[in-house]
Amino acid sequence: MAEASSNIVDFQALPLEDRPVERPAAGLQRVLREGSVWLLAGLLAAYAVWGIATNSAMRWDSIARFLTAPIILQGLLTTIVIAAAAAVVGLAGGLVIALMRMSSNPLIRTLAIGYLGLFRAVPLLVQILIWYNLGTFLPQLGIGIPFTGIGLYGDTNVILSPFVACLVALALNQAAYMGEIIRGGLLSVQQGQIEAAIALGMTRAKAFRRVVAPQAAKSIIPPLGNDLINLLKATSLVSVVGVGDLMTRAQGIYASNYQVIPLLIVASIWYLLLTIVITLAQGLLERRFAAGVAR
Amino acid sequence: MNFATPEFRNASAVPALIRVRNVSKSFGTNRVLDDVSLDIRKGEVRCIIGPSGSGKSTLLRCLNALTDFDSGAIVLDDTRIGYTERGSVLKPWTGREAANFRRRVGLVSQHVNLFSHRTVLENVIEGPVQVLGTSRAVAVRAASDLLARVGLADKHDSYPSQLSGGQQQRAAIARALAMDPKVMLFDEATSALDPELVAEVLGVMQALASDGMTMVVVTHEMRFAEEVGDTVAVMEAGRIIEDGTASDVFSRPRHQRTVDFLKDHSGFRTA
Repeated sequence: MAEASSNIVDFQALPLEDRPVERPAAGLQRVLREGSVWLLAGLLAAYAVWGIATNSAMRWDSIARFLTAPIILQGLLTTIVIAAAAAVVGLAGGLVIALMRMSSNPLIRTLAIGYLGLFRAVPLLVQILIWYNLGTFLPQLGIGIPFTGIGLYGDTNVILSPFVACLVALALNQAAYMGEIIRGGLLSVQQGQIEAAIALGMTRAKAFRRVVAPQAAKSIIPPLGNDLINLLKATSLVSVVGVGDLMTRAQGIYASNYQVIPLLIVASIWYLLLTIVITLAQGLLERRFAAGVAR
Repeated sequence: MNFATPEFRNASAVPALIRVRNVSKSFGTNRVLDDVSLDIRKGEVRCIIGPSGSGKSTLLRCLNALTDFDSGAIVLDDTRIGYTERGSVLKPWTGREAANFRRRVGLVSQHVNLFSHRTVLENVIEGPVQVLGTSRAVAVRAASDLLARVGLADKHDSYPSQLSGGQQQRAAIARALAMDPKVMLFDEATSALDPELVAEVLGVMQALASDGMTMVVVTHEMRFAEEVGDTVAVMEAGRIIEDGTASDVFSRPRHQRTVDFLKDHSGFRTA
């Protein structure tokens, strides 16, 4: 490279294929260049950590104490139960919605489109409040034969306890989002794969189980992980109706001791840990369904 | 070389395994099959040639009940495709009845559709284990034999994405054969392959023909049709315009359109 820079005219005179090229930096030069970036980033991080750690308002002792306080753990359990139940119901409901949305029957398809439109349009917070307050609008709930009054009915406020109301709101909302994620996955399976299964003598149901579902799973899992993390965090919205989840508990404590930030950090730490669990599970599932991907 | 057995030179002597009678089918105003009648005898290699869009593939898919047709009838053995006899009426098939029928017909299509999430071996045992209820051990043994037959003995654990197009197509043939079908349908099985991979697939098909498999082969490989085919039907615009022994159709075509078609395709692989 030295000879190239020493004589510009010679460089220009060389045929294009013989001209020297600039190579990526190597050895010490590279260590210095990349090392300086790491050093700068490390300094900034250390400064931020130092600032937070030495802030007297942080009350690290409070964070440590409340992190495993029974009342916080109770809230954590409620959060996990709500998120898990909404995830399971939402996944099953989403599969139904996806299949309805892809049905050849226009009535069924329209129902699914209507469901998706409604539940994706209304903010989740509003949905939670609607289910929570349903008793003021429909005092009685139940199933029976229309126009006859025959059937099983109950008091809405008894059936839809705050906990159940939140569960219903999250699950129905989740089903709408899962429905589109699952539909995307199903659409990603090539038509030829389904036809090959049918040509082999599989029924449609068996082709779905053996070929479509496992192949769709591969493309469903990353957005599914996203969605479950969103769901987990969305459970914090149920604190508006005081169901006793992690967020409700944290709010309850700082309302009396005014240690707002420390308790929000306690909640954040738990949400972070749960998110890590979901992320790890997503990684495991991705590897499980990665078979046959071109490497 | 010629693998045709002599009795097919006198085709009418052997009763038909498949009878196609006056089959018509339209997509909207486009008549893709127009009063098609055809016999396919046991052990015969029945080639169907003709220009693109002439209805060859649609006809083949009718034989596997993958596509339904508007009028006419197709009978395989004693099965009327699409219907089951109940009492004295023919009732349309349920989904399961259609699936049961397809076990008896193997299909290898242009676009290789090996199950991408399963290894070669898993692809081949999928049908026997999941559809026929064969035990896994028995299915694996049979699959090993079939994979050796198509020259893929060392590829059991490869995924389709790790195989060449020709290897994939040979695995697809093994997968179809694993169902022990009465007849094998080939829908332009080499059309999507790189030219240098065509021969290995045609070689497997040729070996299959010489083993006595009944085959219906939609193809653009004129040499294959001429040398391996026993009888050749020429389709154009949804009709069969010429049908006879391979040597008759290729050396003494009666129809001017056949002459034109063969002339257009004579440039291909005249080795």
